Amino acid sequence: MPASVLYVEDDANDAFFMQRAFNRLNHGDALRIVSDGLEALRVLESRSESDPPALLLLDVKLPSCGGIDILQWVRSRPAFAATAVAIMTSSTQTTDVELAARHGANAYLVKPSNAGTLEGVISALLDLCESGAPAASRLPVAGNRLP
Amino acid sequence: MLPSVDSPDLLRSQNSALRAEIAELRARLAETEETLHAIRHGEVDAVVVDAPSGPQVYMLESAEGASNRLRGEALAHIDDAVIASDNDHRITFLNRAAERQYSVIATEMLGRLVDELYRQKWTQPADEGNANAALARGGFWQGEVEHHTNHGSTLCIDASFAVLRNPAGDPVGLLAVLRDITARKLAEQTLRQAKRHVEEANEKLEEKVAERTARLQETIAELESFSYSISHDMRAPLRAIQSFSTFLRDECHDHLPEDGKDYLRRIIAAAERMDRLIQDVLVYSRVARIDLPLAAVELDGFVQSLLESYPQFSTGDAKIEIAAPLGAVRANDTALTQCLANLLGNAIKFAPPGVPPEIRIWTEAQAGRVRLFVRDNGIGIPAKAHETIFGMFNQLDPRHGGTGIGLTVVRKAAERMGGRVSVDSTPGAGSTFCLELDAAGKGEA
Repeated sequence: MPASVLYVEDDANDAFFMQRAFNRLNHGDALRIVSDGLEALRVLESRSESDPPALLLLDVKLPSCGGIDILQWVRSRPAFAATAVAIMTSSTQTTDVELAARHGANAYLVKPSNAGTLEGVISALLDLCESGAPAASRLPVAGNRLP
Repeated sequence: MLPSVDSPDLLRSQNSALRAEIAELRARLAETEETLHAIRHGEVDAVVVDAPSGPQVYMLESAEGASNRLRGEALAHIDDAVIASDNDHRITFLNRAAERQYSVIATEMLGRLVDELYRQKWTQPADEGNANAALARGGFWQGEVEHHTNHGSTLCIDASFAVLRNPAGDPVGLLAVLRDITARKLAEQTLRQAKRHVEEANEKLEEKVAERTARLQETIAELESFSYSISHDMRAPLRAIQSFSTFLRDECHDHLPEDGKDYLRRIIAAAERMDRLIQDVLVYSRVARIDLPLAAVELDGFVQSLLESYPQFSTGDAKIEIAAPLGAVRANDTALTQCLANLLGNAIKFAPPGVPPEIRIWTEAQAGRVRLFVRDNGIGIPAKAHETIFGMFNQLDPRHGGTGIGLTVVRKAAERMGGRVSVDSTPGAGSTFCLELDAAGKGEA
């Protein structure tokens, strides 16, 4: 079980779905949700020395600071070299996928239209982190069919 | 025999004959000398000569006279005005063209100043000096000048000036050959103007094109951001509706009356349908909007990998038969995938109830085009709907699910690849869809 997972998401419902998925996997305590991009950076900064998250889930569209920007910020800091980053989005536009990959994301998840299936997706993702997949691996895990 | 001696009578007659002959010869000699004298003194104009064809008159003319006559005829016939003047700028000669060009009569102008014929203006201020220098140096100058005639007209003149000299080499005057190029200059100016107009029109046209292109690009960018926001913003609430309905159904199962469960079922179905609609509209929008570069596509490999990546086509009881070789077409991978996935999906979806779908795929090539046929054993389409099924949101029978956009996407994709799609079908006897595209060119595949 990963030490901690940080999810940056401004949509209250999507946040709810993620917490529900973690709860049903009995990992509810491992999840922390932050709803603002800049606040997320502050939290990450404060934890960079002592307690960097094992998994960072980033919604793409966020107020004040977007998911891709946070991704770039994290990837530029050696303190988070071991942190896996997954980009979460509603969009299946290939440009977003390429952009995420180019900036060093480990996975790209499309939010499933039915959040009931989120559990399975998250479970697979957590297994990946647990097996210690290095930050440089490129194994996309899709919630929906990728184009 | 003794030598005969002529008798004194014979000698006397021989003597008088000789004397007569001498007298005649003298007379003829005198006549000849007289004639030669006359010829040498220019008193003879013509001589009658006995030619084989009969007597002919030969005219005698001085060389100078002949030369003058020839020159005079030449000058009379040329179109350029020729004016000769002496060192005092008085006109000594004016040809017929000069008379016409300056509206004068030669006899009236002889002895008058050249200035009385025209006022000469130089095109460049430096020309006057250059001309005089050239004339002084080499005796010749040629250039363009302007002549203002006494009759008020302004002529553009291509002028050649040559210094006239006597046999001793002293300058005795100036010879001017003046060609009226007014018409030509006017034509040149008109041509330049026309050219300018064309260039201006061209610029305006290019401006318009640039403007239109910019507007078009703006529209495309707007559509793109519109699609993007549909993708994110519209699907989020939909996600919430679907998800919470599912949670309600699963978690509150025991507390819900049958009606409640039914309502939830309908809510979930509607939300799913909405989601599919949005996705299909997005697909259509992309196919309509984005660049579709075309390249050669080998159909055999393409169809094979399509079947592999859409497992729903291979699992289940669907039987798909491909008549290889299918050949190669000029197409776009993404767009072609959309076309075939939709056509195959329909073929499976519209199989008669309880009957396993049977699909046959084959191609026909003709005149640089390739027709790809997809035949199914489905429920068929009535003739009157053969066109409307390709319309947006048109569904023959909504009970079969689907969004009514699938075939619209197929048609749009086909058109954007330079092809088209059509259907041949009878209700109860299956349908054959035909996708027609350009054959892959030589040297492309």
